[in-house]
Amino acid sequence: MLLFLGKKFMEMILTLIGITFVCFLLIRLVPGDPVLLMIGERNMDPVAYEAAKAKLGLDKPILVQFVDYTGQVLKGDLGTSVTSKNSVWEEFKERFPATVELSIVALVFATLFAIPFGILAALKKNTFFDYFLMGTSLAGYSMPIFWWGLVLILFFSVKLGWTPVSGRIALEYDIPMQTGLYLIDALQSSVREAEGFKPFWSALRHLILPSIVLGTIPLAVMARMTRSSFLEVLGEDYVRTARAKGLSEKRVVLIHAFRNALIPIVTTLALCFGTIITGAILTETIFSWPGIGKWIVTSITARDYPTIQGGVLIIAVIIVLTNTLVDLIYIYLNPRMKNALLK
Amino acid sequence: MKDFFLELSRDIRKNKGALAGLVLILVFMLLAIFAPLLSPYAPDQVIEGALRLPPGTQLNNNFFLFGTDDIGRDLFSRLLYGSRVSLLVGLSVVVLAASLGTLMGLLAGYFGGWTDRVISRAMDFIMALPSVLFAIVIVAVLGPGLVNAIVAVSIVALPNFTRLIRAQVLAEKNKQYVQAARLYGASHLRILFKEILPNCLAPLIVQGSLGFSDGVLNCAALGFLGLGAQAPTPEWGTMLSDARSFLETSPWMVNLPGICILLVVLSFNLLGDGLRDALDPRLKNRA
Repeated sequence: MLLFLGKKFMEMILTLIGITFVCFLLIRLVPGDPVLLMIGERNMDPVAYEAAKAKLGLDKPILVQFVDYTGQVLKGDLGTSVTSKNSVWEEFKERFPATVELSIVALVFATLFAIPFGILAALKKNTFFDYFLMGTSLAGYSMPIFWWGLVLILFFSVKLGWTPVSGRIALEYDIPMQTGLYLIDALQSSVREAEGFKPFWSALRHLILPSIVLGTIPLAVMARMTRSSFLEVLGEDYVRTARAKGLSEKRVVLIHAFRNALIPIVTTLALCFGTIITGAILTETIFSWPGIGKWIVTSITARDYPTIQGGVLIIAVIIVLTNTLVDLIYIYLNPRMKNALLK
Repeated sequence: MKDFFLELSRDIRKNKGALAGLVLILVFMLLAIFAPLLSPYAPDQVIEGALRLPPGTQLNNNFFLFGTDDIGRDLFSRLLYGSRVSLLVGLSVVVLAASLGTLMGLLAGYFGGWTDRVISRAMDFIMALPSVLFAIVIVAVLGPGLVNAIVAVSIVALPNFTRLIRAQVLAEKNKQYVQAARLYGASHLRILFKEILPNCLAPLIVQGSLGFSDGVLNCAALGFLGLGAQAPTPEWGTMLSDARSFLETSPWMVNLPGICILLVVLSFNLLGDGLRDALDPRLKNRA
């Protein structure tokens, strides 16, 4: 077990070093002078240029530069944004909660629909219902979500006027930041005393369309996974035994089969994390959602390389950590693997 | 090899989804090939006085089946030429990623050791970043444009092919026919390409189809973000992005390219799914 954990840890560290290296190279591979790219100015006088070069350490050998860069990153110094002149880490911290809130709501939405749909499709295998659900989920999986978002805006916001078009909360509400998650911050007692539940509803209404858009592909993937996972489990001996014992179908499906079908579903859920970040880049762009996806896209158009470098590095680190965590959860959920490792 | 394709075509005909996908793909291919004959106007031809006309409008002697865009270009013609761009993008991504991925997968699986470790680790790095984000990073370095977007999306697709072929090689390389070839004194090159590779074909075809749809979708997404094809190229994602500000007044400008992307991606996913069912012996026996 320890050996396995150690191996996983080493793999993670290696991947992290690799990613740091790729991000480090990023600025140096972009055509143009890295000094000017990092300072964000075009015509500097030679003295200031040399000073900036030395300050950034760009006059040192490349390996030394990489070691310096890694050291800086470990200290939490990810550089300074060229456009806002703020620290990249501060900018990230400001925007990250918006993406977290959107992702969580999207995943909850996806899971709430995907699991029942998948189970029903498996139980009614090869019926019209099954074909319809799986056909729809394939269409959902193939959906260009940047178009899907616009279609939903057109229908629900423009035609029906039910949901707001963009932003996180109506402009009239000014909520003091605690967690950065508006759904939670809007319930603080100070806000509730002043405005009641109105800010909470406003935040929720702003979340509806973006989370449907962001949750569409994970929903489709999870529904298909749930179906195939259930079909596999329903054919197992212990399910047959449970049925033979005379247990009710509900009990067989929800207790016996569900627990075991859950393993691949949880893994898929976690694998959706990458899809979610990709989706967040597009969703946040469509809905002007002030999260890290929109931040990265804006910095690309502004050619703000320090921000791109830092932002990409943080996202990659989060993903690598999540994937490692998923591996561990997977082992915990799968007794066969756990026992094999404990031996 | 002939038997393989005969059986494959029989399996596709049995699978309604795959058949539907294949028919749709053929339709789009025909539209793309005959775009110059079918389109009433050149894709970047501006027709005077025809600003944002809704689909089915007749103006003087001109008929606009899908309407026109904000500077008076015929949308039907642009979408037809767009199918050329999209199919070419998908094809380029699959050819690039599959050839390079297959080569690396073969080397990693066959030689093992350091070759395998280096290749597998490199693939892990690529997979550690979400596809569009990684593509964005590459485009940030190379600069926006259709060719750079294709390169970026191909690199992102690389690990799928490499890992697939590697796993397949690992399963095949100790089988008797490979050992027999080795005993006969066949070179590594011959064993890899003449013995092992043909046995990796089935999963490669499935991944090719799914990779095609990913390629089209990711390139369209980059186009939408302004990092892919640049105006006036009639690329669907870029067209959709340019039409965003007219969503309320001229929704067809947004919806038609969106539907085209959805249909092409869906058709390759349908085909890929059907092929997987047909070619995966485990799934086949279960059915």
